[in-house]
Amino acid sequence: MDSATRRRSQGGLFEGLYRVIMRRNSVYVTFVIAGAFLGERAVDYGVHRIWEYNNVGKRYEDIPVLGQRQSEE
Amino acid sequence: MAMGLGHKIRSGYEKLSFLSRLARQSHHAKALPALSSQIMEQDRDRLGSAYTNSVRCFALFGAGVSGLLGCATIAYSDEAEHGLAVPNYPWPHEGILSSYDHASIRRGHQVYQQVCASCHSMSLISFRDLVGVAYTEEETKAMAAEIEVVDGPNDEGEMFTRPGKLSDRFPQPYENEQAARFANGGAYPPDLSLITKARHNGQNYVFGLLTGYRDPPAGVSIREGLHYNPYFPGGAIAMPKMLNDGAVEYEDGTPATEAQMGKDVVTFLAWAAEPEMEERKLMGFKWIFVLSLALLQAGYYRRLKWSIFKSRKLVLDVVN
Repeated sequence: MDSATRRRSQGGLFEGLYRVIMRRNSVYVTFVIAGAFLGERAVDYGVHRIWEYNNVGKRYEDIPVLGQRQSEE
Repeated sequence: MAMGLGHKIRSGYEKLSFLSRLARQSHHAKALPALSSQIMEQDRDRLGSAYTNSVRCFALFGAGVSGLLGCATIAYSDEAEHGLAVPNYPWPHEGILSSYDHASIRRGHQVYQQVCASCHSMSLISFRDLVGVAYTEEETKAMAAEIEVVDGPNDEGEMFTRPGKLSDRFPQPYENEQAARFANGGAYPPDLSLITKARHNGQNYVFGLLTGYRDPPAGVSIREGLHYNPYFPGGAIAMPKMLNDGAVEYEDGTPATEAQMGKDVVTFLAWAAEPEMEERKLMGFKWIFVLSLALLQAGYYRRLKWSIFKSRKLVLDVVN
């Protein structure tokens, strides 16, 4: 609360964000919906990258003898 | 009146440190002056603060030990009733972001098919469940076609047999439970579809059981037809030791030791009981992460809206 009283007409990050997104409710709602969509895509991508990094060599595609059963019998 | 969050944390910490210092010194009391003044009077009555402090120390320690022992006796389990406690093995699929080792699932299925399927059914698993997990579609179709399946009445009203399809369940070794008991000396080899979930600490238990066969200790005799296994509750199990070195020849050339086969078959059984594990872990990690961010946002928003009330001042104007 003390920091907000510092007089700054050209505010910091939060001030800038407020000016761009939160002036009009229509812009705000659009931001939330689009942000949720894009944010979910980003989180999915990030989690999958971590998953693959953590599970090297254990995937189905990494099975060395995939497809060889048929040829024997 | 309005206590900031920092003030609250500080006063809570002060109270905690007061309680911890109570056993050592009794003149730092800020939060509970009444109690501390009582204790200070007791100090003067006794020989000195050092004596009371050591007595207090002893009392707290004794209370802690008896509390701990009380909990321990509740948690204590009889080995004869529950079997020998199994160690926790470092499974490759253990951990919040660990997937199954799919090559191990494939080898484990091979072990099941060649060693276990003669007695144990897995009637909840279908051939199609293996596609994309351990085998390709063509491989699975070929595997399914090797078995004969009894199918529903045809147009003439007769049951007929046909080669298996992907949609068929794993074949059962016995027609019904009675046949299974009759063929196994009265003991029923349980269905393995959910065995790792149906036993306490299932994965470690099944591995310990399969690799745990040994000679009974001196003085313990097991009747004819049963075998000694310390991990099995009661110690006498009807199943003989099935995993022996070299019992199976792996397709990928992995040496088939007893421990390797045990590890692979338990991985296969764990997958069979929980095929959704990988999806569940991914979903759990993602949503716990997202909801933690949402929690931070919600906390900020709540404190923002409440700030006007937390920072207001009330003036009481008393009229006499």
